[in-house]
Amino acid sequence: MSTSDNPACERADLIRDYAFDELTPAERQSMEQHFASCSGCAAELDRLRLTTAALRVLPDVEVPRRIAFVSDKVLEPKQGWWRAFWNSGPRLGFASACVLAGGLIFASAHRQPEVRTIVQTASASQARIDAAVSKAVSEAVEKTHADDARLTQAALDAVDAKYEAKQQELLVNLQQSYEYMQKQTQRIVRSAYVQ
Amino acid sequence: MFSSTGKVALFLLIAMVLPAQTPKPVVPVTTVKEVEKATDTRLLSPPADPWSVLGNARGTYLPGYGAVVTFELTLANLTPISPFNPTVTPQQKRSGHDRKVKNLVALKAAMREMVEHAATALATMPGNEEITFEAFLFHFNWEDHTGLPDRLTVCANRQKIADAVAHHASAKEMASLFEERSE
Repeated sequence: MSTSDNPACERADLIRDYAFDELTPAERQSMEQHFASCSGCAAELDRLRLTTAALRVLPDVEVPRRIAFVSDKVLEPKQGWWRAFWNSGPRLGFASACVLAGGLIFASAHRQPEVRTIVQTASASQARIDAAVSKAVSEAVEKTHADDARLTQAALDAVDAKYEAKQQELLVNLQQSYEYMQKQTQRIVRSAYVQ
Repeated sequence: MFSSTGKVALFLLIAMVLPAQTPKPVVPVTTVKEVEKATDTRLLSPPADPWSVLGNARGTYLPGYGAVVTFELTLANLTPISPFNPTVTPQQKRSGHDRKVKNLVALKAAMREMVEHAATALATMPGNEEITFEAFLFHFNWEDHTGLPDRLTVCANRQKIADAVAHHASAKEMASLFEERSE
C-alpha cells in the first residue's frame, strides 16, 4: 500500500506497518485511535488485511538453489506422451485426421440404420404397393372379364331377340301369304263352282 | 170348346192364311245375286296392271237403308313372301306401292260404275235408299301403306243415280252424286 491510496492522510504510510504488526505498542495504540477517526485509513487497512489473507493461502515456493542455462538438459521440461504429442505438428495432424475419419465413420455408422430403415420401409412400401397393384390389376381384369361377359351376353341376347323378332316377322308374313293365296284359291274355286 | 177335328181344321186354316199375308221383299234375293255377279264380272275386267280379287262380291239388302255390296281385293298382284322368296327389296316395295296408288284411282272409277249399274238393277228398291259398295283392300305387312286405305266405300242415293243415268248426266254431275270414304 502506498500513500497514493489515501493521499489526504499523513499517517497513511504507517498503515502497512500496523497491518504487518511492526509498530510499537504506543504507535499501534495511536494508529488504532486514528483508524477510529479516519475512515479512509480504516478502509485501506481492511483492503490490506484482505490481501494479506489471500497471500497467506498460497503455498510457499522454494527459491532455486542453483543457476542453470536454458540449454541444459536438466532444464528441459519432462515431456510425457501427451505433451510430446501436443507439441508435434505431424502427430497432431494425423490425430486430427484420425478424429475426422472416426467422426465420419461414427456418423456413417449412425446414419446407416436410418438408411436401412428407409430402404426397409421403402421395400415394405414397395411390397405393399406391388400387392395393391396386383390386387387392383386382378380386380380390373376380373371386372373387365365380367364386363366382357356381360356385354357378350347382352350382344347374344340382342342377336337372339333380333333373330326371334325376324323369325316372328317371317312367320307372320308367311301366314299372311298363306291366307292371301288361300283366299285367291277359294275365290277361283267358288267362281268355277258358280259357273 | 173345339173338338179335336175342329182344332186341326183351325190350324190348317191359319197355316194357309199366314204365308199369304207375309209381305214380299222389296228387293228380291235374285236381284241382289245379279248385282253380285255383275260386280264380280266388273272386277275381273281389271286395268292394265291387274289387281287380284281375293273375295267374291257379297250383297245384301237392308230394308230402310239400302243395298250393300262388299268384296275384297288387292290393288296389285304382288309376290308374297315365302320360303322361296323370303325377302322383299326396297325397290319391290316402292314399285308395289306405286302400282297400288295407280290402281286405286281405277278401282274408284270401277266402283262408281258398279253403283250406277246397281242403281238400275235394283229398280224395286225405294228411291230414297242408298246403294253402297265397299272394298276391303288387302296389304301385306311389309308393304308401304302410305296413301293407301284399308277400306274404300262408295255410296250414293239410288234414285238420284238412276235419274242421272237415265238423263245421261255429265261426268261432273255424276261425280257430285257419289260419296267416297277411305279408312
